[in-house]
Amino acid sequence: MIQITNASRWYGQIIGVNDVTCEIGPGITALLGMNGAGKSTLMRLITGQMHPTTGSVKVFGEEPFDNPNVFRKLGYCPEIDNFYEYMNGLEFVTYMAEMAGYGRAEAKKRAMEKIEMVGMADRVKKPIKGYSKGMRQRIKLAQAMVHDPEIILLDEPLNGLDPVGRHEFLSVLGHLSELGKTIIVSSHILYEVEQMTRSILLLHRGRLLATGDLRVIRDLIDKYPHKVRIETPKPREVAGKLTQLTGVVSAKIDDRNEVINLEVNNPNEFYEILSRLVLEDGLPILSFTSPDNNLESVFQYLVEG
Amino acid sequence: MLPWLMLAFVAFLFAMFWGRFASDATPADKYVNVINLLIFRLLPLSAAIYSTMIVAQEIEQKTIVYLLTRPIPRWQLIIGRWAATATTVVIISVIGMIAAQMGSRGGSAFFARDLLAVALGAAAYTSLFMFITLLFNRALIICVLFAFGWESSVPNLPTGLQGLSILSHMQAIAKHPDGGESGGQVLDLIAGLLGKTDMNPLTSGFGLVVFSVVMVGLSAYWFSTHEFIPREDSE
Repeated sequence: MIQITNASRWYGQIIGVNDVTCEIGPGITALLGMNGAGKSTLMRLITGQMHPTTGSVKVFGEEPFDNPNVFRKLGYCPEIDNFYEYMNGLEFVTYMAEMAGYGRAEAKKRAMEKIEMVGMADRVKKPIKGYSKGMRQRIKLAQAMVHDPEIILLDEPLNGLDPVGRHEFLSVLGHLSELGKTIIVSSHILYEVEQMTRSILLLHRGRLLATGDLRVIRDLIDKYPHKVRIETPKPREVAGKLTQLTGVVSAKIDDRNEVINLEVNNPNEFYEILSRLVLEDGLPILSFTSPDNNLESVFQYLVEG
Repeated sequence: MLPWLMLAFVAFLFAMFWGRFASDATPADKYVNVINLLIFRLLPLSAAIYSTMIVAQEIEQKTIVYLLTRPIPRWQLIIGRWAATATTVVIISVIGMIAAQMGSRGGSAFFARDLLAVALGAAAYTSLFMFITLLFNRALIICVLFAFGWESSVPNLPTGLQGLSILSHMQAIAKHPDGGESGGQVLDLIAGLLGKTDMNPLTSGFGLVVFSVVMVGLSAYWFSTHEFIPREDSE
């Protein structure tokens, strides 16, 4: 459905995307990358807002720039939080449906259907300027779906959504995926993406670093010792116990004598044992975090590892 | 819309009380003076303000992305929006013309020609300003400078440069008689009537049509071929 061939895009001296080649088909695909990785640029190329400086971007075999044939089958939920603030949600989505070529009555009917789908039916008559971030995200999703496109692109759609909103949003995405739609979701949060899909395009500094199954990246991460940071009032006692566990490679207590930095080989097994030690043996632990569970470390593994 | 209705009311009051300042003014003089001083002079201002809504405001507010990802060819989108804008400007002006007529109780003989002048003037101004808004950031300033700088000075030049002013062409189409002694040189200067020439109404009308078509065509071409992405991303 979407073919990107050696596409690069420059903003003057700055590169947005650099020699990206990939194909995207039905199902949910995540565009994963840190801020400035080129996710939004790639989305703009696919949605025909920009031309690639070199290479080509084809959607349904056609160039998307100013191409109504493409836009009939493509819906876009941009990252920007801008609206016609004087409109209410129903008016906005209806207007978008009218712009897609539907008559007034049909547009309104479709708008209402999609608004119900995103769980906004009860607040749709309120002006958009009074909407919370989560409500605005939902209305953006509704406008992207209003003409039943085959491809839906969502640029950082979970930004600003509360846990309930995220759950509902993910349900809608799952439902759309079951209908055979091609959904492309951009995100800079690994955990967020894992909840949506296993299929990823990993972007870093404009380059496509990896494509395919997210588990491959997870496995790659798990190949290396995993860093775990444990905060405890009794670091020596806790470190002594933890270093006896199999899989713990090293333990270091910080200068303030409050935090233990561990390296473990099998993180999942380690977390299980750790929770047992806390519950059954009363191991005094205030908190634990893993600095490895973020995109930055993924990129470090991929680039340097 | 409300400010324009208030301006129409001002036109009504002007027309009504013109006789207080110029006792010899006939109803037709009152009407003509109000049209020249208010309606024709404020038309470019309303055109400038509404023209920025065609695209520039959408770019500024970043809502342009919603329009550019809909299945409408860009040229259709911009021409449709331009037509709606030009119509709005004409409607606003016509409301002012009616108010002036009611206030002066005269001028019905000029109404049809004024309507034609206003329609062609609105088409020319909005198409020019639309193109300017596509080319420049903060285009409203340029448009207002054109409306009150260029259009205030060029029609008053004695050199026959009036052909470069949309206002002069509108005046040629409207073909108003001299507003009598009630106007005076200062008001003629404001109305852009000092540099009178014998411009042919037909040529002026044709000129404004051609100008509008060229400007709309250029705008449609520009809008269809250029990218409109947030400024922070393009720099």
